[in-house]
Amino acid sequence: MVSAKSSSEKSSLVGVSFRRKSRDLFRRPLPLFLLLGPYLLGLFGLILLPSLLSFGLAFTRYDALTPPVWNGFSHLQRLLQDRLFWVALGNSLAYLALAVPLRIGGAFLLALLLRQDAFGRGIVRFAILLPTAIPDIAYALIWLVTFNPRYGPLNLVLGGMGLPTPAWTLDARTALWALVIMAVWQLGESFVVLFASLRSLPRHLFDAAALDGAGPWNRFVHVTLPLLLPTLLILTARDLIVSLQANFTPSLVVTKGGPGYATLFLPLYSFILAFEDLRLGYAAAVVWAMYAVTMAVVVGLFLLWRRWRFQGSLT
Amino acid sequence: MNYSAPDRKSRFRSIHRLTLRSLTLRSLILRGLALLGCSGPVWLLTLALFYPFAWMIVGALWPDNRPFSDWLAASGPVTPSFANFGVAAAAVPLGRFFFNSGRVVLLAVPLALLVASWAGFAMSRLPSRLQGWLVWLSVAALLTPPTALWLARFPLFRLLGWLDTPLPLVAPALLGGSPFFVLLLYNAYRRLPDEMLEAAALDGASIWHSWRLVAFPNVMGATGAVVVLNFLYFWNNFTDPLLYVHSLDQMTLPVGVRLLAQMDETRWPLLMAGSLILSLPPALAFALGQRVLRDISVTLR
Repeated sequence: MVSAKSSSEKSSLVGVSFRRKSRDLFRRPLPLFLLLGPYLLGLFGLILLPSLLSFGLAFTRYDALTPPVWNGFSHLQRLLQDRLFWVALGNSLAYLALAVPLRIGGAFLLALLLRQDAFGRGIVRFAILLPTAIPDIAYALIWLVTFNPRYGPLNLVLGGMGLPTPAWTLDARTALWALVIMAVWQLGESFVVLFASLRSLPRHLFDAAALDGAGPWNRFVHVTLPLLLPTLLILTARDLIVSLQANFTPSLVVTKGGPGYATLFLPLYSFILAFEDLRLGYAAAVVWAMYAVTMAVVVGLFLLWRRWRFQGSLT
Repeated sequence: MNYSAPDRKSRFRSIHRLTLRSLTLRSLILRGLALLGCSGPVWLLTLALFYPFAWMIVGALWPDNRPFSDWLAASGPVTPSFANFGVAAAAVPLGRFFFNSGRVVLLAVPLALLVASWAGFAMSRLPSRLQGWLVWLSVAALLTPPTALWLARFPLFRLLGWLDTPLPLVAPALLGGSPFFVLLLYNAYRRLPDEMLEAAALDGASIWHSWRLVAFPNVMGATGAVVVLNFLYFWNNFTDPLLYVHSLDQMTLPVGVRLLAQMDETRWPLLMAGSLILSLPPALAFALGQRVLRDISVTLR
């Protein structure tokens, strides 16, 4: 980047007319906007317009058959009294609190273990990313069979080893855990990013720390962790946003929101409201409440980080 | 930064050659054993990570009439059976679903690649303030909850008369598959030196030609990654066909496989057979595209 910039400055000093000509071409943005056009159309038609519409729908009563009817803030009022909404919100937060740390921690552990070049690392990387590449529905069905309390392989193995065999998806106490276990296997995306940033850390810092007598543990706590903290934080924020949505297919297929309402999450609740009960307006209110929760969690995370960094710079 | 990458690679290669020369069979075996011993935990984790896919294969080949507990009870040998695929295909039109999925992918992936590539290139050549705006717009688009989009896309698609056609499934190609892919290519195009495109412009190349002949061939790594990821995205897509496609004629494979589960959840060899048919193309694409995908980690730096 730097070298490209300095040489273009030089050329503008040497050949003025040459520079102006090429600059003209890229300062005329119309052809560029033609290339950008389809994407801008997509952003407008598939993201901006639908999100504005669904935001508007939150203030209407709409059944997808007759035109929406404005009813102001009454959905917000109903939301506060809706017991199922609070159950779904609590389940979603519990899922995030369990799945996200396990997933990021697992990806970090694997990245640390695989940091050195070693025999067969290609196979290991393939194994790590494969569960992420399997289609959601196939992945959900695999675990649906796995968790079956009677004939599923998990309980057969657990029973064979004399361990307790919970009813997993059929027991309200373990159903959420079953979905969390499913999520942990899909740590491939976080792994790729962590692995890349771990490998790009400057070597000389570790050499210097080793020279000062820091053992592996101290090098990890005082060099690796502080350098990777920004990456870890961004990944955690991303994982929070993704996980909140990604439990839709598993909760629809594996547990169907049950038993009882033990795995009713916000996306599933809004899906049921919109496409089974045809209450699209109220579903939109649920969705935007969910959005507010996500943003609150992410902003909280960043505030925490800023505070941590501030204290870190003082000491 | 980007000029150091080939250097590092060639240096790595020369080191590699040196070690190859000094290898004997005995040292190779010794080294292999040492590596296996040291990385025992890694291999255990790897086996655990292979579990979902391995179980899917075992389940798909397990005879339909034998409970899985026969594996432990050992009441006679269990021979793998390929009949499950046929039975599953007879229960629901898997061939038709496969064709529909393939059609969506063939339409959407090239289109998504063009849109993402053009957008990434154009963004990288715009004035820097506009670039910043577009990056923020893309990030905001990525943060929008998909559930919010389903709700409002449904009436929009119905208004357009697109329900029960492949069009709603192809439509995300207008976003390049995902704004994330556009950002990925934007990042790759941004690394191309200005001189390269200025030289092309000096030779009289239009913006179209400088993309087609100069810029595009130079970001093949990131482009390949976007192709593989887009294939996975469009092939694996479950929620869009679930919401916008209802007739058996237009249904794609992911929803078709769920149909098997809705018919009889307890005949799990059939579920696994359907899942395996569904998962093989992405697994294959992923295995072939692994080299390409590795370049993403370089682009992300």
